[in-house]
Amino acid sequence: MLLSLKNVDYYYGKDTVYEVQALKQVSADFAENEFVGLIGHTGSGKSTFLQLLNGLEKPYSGEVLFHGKNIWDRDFNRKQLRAGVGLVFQYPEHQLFEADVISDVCFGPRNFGLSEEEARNRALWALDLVGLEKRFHQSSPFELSGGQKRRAAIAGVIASKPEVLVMDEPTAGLDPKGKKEILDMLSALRRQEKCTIILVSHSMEEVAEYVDRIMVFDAGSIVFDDQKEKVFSHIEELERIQLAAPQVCYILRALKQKGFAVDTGAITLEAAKETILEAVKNRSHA
Amino acid sequence: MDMINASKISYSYERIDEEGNTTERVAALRGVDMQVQPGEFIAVLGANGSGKSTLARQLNALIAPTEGTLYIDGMDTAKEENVQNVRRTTGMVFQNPDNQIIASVVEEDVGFGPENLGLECNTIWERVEESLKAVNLYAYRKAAPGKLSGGQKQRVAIAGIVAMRPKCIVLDEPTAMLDPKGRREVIRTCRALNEVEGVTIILITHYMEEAIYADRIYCMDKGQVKLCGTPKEIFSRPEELEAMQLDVPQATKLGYELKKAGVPVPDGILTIEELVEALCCFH
Repeated sequence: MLLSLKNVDYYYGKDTVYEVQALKQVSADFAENEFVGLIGHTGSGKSTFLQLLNGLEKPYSGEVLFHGKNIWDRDFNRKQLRAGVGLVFQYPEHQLFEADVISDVCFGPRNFGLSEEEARNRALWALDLVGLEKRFHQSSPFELSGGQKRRAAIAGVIASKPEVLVMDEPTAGLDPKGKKEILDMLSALRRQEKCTIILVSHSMEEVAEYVDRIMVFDAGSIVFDDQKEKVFSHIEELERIQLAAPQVCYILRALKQKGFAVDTGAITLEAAKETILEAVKNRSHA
Repeated sequence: MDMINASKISYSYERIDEEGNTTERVAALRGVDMQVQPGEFIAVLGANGSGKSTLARQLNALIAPTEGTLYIDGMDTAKEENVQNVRRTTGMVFQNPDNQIIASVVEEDVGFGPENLGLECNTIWERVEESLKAVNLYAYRKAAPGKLSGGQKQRVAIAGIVAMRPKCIVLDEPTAMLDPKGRREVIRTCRALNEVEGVTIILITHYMEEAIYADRIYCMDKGQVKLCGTPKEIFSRPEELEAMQLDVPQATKLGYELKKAGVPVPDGILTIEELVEALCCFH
């Protein structure tokens, strides 16, 4: 397995009056070239989980394994782990700091020991991938628009060619087109580089459209970890933990109740359209 | 009298390089017309960089138009002597709740505005109580804002504005940094203020689902108002919206796709219920 967590417990303020258990006996496996969505309301433990994945936080108990090796073993090279598991925080554009875009993107690869030239090539590759044209490379990151800044910041992580790319709400605050660009870019990256992508999102429609597998967090535990279609079939349970299914699921459900022979397992717009068309056709013939 | 009356307002600013030379002139607003009646709920949609926030700042007299005229409740915002009153008339809520909260206790934060209006102590406390109740946070009046969720913090910020009793509230992407629950709370608060208190609401948002509750929607693109109409009218034109880098709610999009495939579905479906009803009607 590429990356796994085994029975991890994590506390904030352990042994103080503010003690909160953020994760309870959490186990998860990520294989190569997966696209996984993480959903859960604020405070459900998603962000803590992400920070355990690349060793920013240390589990209170349990293990985090990268290529089968415990990352907290004495002889484990955690610097290598951080190149292998790239973490893009929320609002990553707040972390841009260099004088120009290309230097900012070079910062990661250079720190992971690449030569100046290699780092530069990596940066050019990453900037091309996120779609930031050459004319922006020498600009100050602060002259870019919100969406462009976001892409520059993501390029900075991608430039290290991580095997696992962890994204904490990469589309927050972007307009619909900006969102689509980022998500399409992630899909392309996964296809080309065969990396694994872990995406935290608050938009069920987004998750339904792009990922294959969904993990649902609630109160520090993983309550579902399955194919996205299966997860979204649990509408009531999701609502109980203040989440929801994509809008189309509700539409199909209501239609089914009205006697339409639709497949309520469809979760994307395209699939919903197909099943409704089919049902409408059958109905007109009947 | 119109709450907001903007006629052909433009706003441009100069970009200055390190040597102090003007490198370019950026036109953020280009001839915007906007008429809003008291008590209306208006949503403003537009891609990043379309001029939405510049427009919001105009409404609060943080900036004045470089061309055209803008009257807020009859006051010309370009006149220095009106600025104070314009700001009392339109309150403003920004995107990031953390940047707007200044006190360490919720009720003190909400009281900051009325205190600055020079009101009597008793009146201030009445206003604080009343506005915290309006945003449904009265139980948290003694809490530390830092310990609240994003949606709650944003509602504290709204309460702080409500306490000054503005006739109009402008919210610039108030839900962009919130989770779905926080978003629902904030939108519910906006609708309640509009329906119950009759406050004019200008809601700037990226979320199409939030715009369906508005009386009218303005769509902005490259500093201009490209479309204006009821949600039904606006969302009947998904292709034009897409050209402006916008989107439509998922139910609307599905209705539109079905119609293109030959299913008789009316234009501008906004909610799940409408779509289901439309399909049932025809079959």
